[in-house]
Amino acid sequence: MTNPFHISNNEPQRRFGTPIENPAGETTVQQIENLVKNHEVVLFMKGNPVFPQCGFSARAVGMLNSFSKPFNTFDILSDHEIRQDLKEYANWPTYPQLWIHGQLVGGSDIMAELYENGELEKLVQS
Amino acid sequence: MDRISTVKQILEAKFQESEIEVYDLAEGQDYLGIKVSSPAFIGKSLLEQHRMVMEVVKEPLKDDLHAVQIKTKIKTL
Repeated sequence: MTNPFHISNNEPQRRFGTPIENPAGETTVQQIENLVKNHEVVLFMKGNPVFPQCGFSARAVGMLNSFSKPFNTFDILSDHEIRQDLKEYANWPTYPQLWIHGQLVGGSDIMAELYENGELEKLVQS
Repeated sequence: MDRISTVKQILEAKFQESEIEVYDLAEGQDYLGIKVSSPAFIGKSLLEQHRMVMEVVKEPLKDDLHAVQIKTKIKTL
């Protein structure tokens, strides 16, 4: 039986998410604005694309990985201020949150619905 | 009263003339599914529809808001 955690160097990895660390900005709100405005597609999630720390975040990463378009992620578990303040900034109480072109698309339920009807891919590629 | 009934009652009070389903997605009601089909969603984006539902269930679910699956539908009267 193959080890499910083993990743062979010979296999191309279908993984397009790049975590952002230490976002620029003097205040938390400035950091949030830099994150959503300076990156086309950002997923605020628990953990990172390789090791998501929650099932909803894992599901969101899975959907984005299927589009072969690079995206960024931010681990909200790594920054308590951003984790708290983004909920208010977004007017959205939970994670993951997908932002595209500085706009909140939604959480994993909305992503799943848009994924199923093909809208998510259009938004990500836009 | 159990959590499913509480959440359903609160949603019914807020969304009139709507079809509302609240159901267990896991044993022990730690993970709830909520379906709301309502005329209140007419003209609202999907994001706004979900916000409207979350706003209503925020209080009874408190910290467990993360563990709900929401589906909304526009109901035309």
